[in-house]
Amino acid sequence: MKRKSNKQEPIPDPEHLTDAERVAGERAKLLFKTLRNETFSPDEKDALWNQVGETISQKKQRSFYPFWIAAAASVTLLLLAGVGYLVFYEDSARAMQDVAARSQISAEETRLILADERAVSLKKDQSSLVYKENGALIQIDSSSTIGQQVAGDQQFNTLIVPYGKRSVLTLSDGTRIWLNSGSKLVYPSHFDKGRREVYLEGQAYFSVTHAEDAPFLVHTKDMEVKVLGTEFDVSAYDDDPYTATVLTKGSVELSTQRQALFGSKKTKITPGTRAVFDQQRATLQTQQVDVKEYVSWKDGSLVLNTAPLAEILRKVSRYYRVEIELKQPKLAGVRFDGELILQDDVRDVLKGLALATGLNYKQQPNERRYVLEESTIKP
Amino acid sequence: MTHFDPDHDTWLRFISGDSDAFSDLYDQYADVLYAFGMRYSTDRDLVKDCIHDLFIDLHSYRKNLARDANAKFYLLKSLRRKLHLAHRKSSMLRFDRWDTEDSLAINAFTFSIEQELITDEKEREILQHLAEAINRLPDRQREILYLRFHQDLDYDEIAAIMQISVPTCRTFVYRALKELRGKLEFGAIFLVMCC
Repeated sequence: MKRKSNKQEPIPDPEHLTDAERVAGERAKLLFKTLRNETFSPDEKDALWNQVGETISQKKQRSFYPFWIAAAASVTLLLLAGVGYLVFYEDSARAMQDVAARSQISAEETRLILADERAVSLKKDQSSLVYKENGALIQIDSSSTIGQQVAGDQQFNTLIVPYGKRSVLTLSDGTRIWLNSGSKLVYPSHFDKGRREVYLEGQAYFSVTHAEDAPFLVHTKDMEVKVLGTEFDVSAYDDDPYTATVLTKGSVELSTQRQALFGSKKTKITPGTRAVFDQQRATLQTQQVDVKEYVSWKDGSLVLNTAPLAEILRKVSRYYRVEIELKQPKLAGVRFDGELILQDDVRDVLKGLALATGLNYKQQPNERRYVLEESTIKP
Repeated sequence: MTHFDPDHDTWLRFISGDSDAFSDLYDQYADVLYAFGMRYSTDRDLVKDCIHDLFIDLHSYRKNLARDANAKFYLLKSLRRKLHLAHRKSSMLRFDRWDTEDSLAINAFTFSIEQELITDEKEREILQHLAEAINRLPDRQREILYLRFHQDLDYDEIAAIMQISVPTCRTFVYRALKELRGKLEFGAIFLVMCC
């Protein structure tokens, strides 16, 4: 009660207390000093302090609130979208990929594997298959015909073309597919309404019959090509570090990285464009090219447009599944123009190549290995 | 209202962002705050929650705190506000009570006169009666006496804490003491008559 009061308030203030009141005040003051306080234990005190610290650190994390909520929401959405996409949309692509994984490109002959696991051998180096009557009949090399069950669930056929062979396939919708050597194509035994999907490993040239209501989808391991009706080449060899599409006419839509849940990247390309998806860098690049270079194989020739020798040899070796060694590495960069006819026998091709380049070719004791070298005797 | 005490140094260090000062502040005042909070509530967890929230707020808004504030006064005031809000919230959730009684009442006091070395038997009796009389005072008056005599706050601070004007505050104290005086006189007479 030692507070000074400098005011003359009408209300009596504690400064103007009677003695009795003052005594009461002093006693009350004494009493209040004895007031028993509730205490909490040092443990409780520490626990509460820790809680405070915890909340503060959480708050710090939460200071990015809107960002993280947005991020979490979009991740959730993308996950849902991704899962939905994989579950509902990718269903047949995955099924076809699984089918493709079941058969190996090992045989010397082109093989057609039907849904009921019957395997048909195609003897010719350049075989042809024509699907008729909505896929129920398959005409092989215009000589024999086989039938298959096409009713019921969607089932797949697989065409396997070994190295050194090629095949032309005409599907029930009229779409023609040239399958290059060392390739595998999985496709439904018949097309359901509204969807035409195939799965490719290797290289194929597609001439897709236009159907507005049924887009044609070519799935590969890391690129998806969607078209309504057009001509294009898809190269998706396992041993290439890239997947590429070259468009001859019309337009196609490419989707890459479809396995990535963060959404696939869609790109539209125009005729004369080559789109290359680099698996290592996961990037898609497009460039204008001379289409013939990339699609001439379907007509049995390699169109060379200032192509380096190394690349020519790589193509030839893949086509015939042989190893070709260039003795003088300095020649790898020498470029050639022209057209190299892809004859049945690789030795004929190499002979022609040797003639054109002025090199000698030798076959090693191992018959799948050839060597190109500079002639010791200059002409 | 500036109190020049070592605690004020802690307060200033805390405002300027010293994290040691934050923990010093807690060490210094957590017990005081707990005891203070338990004057208004019997719910230990509720009081702890309010202290927790109070320190979180302190940490969040430290840059905006007044440098010349008395730390203890500021903390008590903030805790009382939190308790009041919590009290109002919980009474709003009680549907069996429709009265708008949402004021925060201070609990009955438990004085321990035994601790004081008062040898005079009569004086002890008087204090005993005074203690009972204090507990019979209206809530607001009891609260003021508590803040004034136990927490040693001045009238400005008490007025701020209780959200009343300073004159009202004085009046309350005056009335309380007048009442106590009367009770004491009565008690003294009663004692005399008994003896």
